[in-house]
Amino acid sequence: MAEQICGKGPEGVIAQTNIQLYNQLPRDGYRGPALAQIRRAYELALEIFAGRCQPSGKCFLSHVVGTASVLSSLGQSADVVAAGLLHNVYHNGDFGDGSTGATPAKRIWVQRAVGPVTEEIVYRFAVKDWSHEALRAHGSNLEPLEDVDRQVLMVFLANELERFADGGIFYQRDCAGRLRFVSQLREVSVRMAEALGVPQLAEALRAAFRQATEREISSPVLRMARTTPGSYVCAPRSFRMGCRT
Amino acid sequence: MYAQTKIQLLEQLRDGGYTEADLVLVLRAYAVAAELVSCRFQGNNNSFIAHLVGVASIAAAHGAGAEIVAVALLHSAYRNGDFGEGPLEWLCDVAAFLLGRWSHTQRRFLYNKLLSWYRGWRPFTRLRLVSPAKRRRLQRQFGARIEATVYRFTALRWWPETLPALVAGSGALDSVDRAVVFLYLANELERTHDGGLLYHAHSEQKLAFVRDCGDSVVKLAEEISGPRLATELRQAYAWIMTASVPQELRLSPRWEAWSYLRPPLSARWRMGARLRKVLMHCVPGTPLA
Repeated sequence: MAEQICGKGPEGVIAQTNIQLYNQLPRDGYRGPALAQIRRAYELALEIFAGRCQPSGKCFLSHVVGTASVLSSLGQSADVVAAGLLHNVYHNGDFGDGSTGATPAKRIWVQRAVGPVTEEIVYRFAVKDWSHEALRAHGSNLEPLEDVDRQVLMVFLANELERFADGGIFYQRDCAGRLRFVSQLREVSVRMAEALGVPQLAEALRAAFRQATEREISSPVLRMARTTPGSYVCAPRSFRMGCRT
Repeated sequence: MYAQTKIQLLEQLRDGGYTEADLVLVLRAYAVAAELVSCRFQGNNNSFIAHLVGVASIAAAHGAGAEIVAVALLHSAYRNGDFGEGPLEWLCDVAAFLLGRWSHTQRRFLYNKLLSWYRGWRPFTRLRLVSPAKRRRLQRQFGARIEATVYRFTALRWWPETLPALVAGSGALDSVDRAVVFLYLANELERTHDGGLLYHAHSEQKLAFVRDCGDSVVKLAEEISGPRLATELRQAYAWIMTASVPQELRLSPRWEAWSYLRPPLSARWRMGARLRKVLMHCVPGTPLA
């Protein structure tokens, strides 16, 4: 019998491509319809995030795949992993209508692609206040939260881990500001992860934040590598007219 | 594990002792490659730039200099890069616009088919691949030597029927051709080492190449790069011929075979709106909605 692909791939490393994620999913125990749902989420992400790059120049799809990879390794449900792939879709996604934020039409589109449960997580991620103050107010008191809000927090923490784990933060223009944000929120994030009952995520966040604050950020190459303060779209030259950036 | 993102590649090069000047060259190559293959995806839905970074990472891991790493990032510039051919690409958008009333999936499928037919149409093939204007652009940006290597990469025929001759004549290759063959080998390893080939809709066709030509490729790797790359290729080929992937993760056979372009929706639809305006001038009575 042919060897299953599970077990091949970067074990213990956050996936950055759909192939790495697809290799990881069976290893993490996902089967049948769960795999199909995550694949549909990736295909929607591909459509909506086409050409979008992070401030570091890294492909945005790699970031959302990384977020999903973290959630998969934590054994989250397929709905949550799919939400990881789409978590920023309402803010950064290009639905072709030139708008940002969640609109009824966009919500229906996402619901049709990945189902209402995943869409609800994505929607709450989009409308939730992620400011310093709101996160501090949350602290580690997560008791009053509904399950879906806990899942939203899980996606947020996976998103943070993905941004710091590969050092990508140092390749973006506002990395100093971002590091200040980290120093203010590192403890809150770690406590949240512990309160969510995922100590391995808390540990990974602690290690990533520590690595981030200890690193030298003044290399001229790093400065050159930094592109823009925010994420941006690089459309193919033949399709640039009027493209939303 | 080989790099798949810009960040991973730069971290690998920094750890690998490449100088600041080397990193600057690689960064410039990345910027150009990312623009040329923006929104292009491989047949397994992986972004094309991840493949280019993977080839560059393999080249760097096997001791290539910064220039070869830069060429690795640019190796598909002429074959798959969008230099802004403009109106020719728009022909496909006309088709997409005319098919506007179709379902999203049908439109996407036909759009890709038309794009691939257009791209394969003989009168445009040369224009799509190498033109003096494209060559001048890369020469200006990276110098004649790097561009010449990219050009020779495009010109080399890496086909089952040409591989035996390549193996037989590998001892007589000049340094540029050796670099080109080395990059083809890195390209082969990148496509197979993570099982990416298995997720293609038409993976059987691609596995046939591995089955028929795997030995020649490994032999060539021994001649050109040494035993390490040859061993990695042999292992990757042996594994990929026996591995399988869950059916749910494989793409539908309707999907593109090699690579395809998926521009941002606003760019595609805005183009449709512009065409609608053109049609209004040409065909009175065309609805604006």
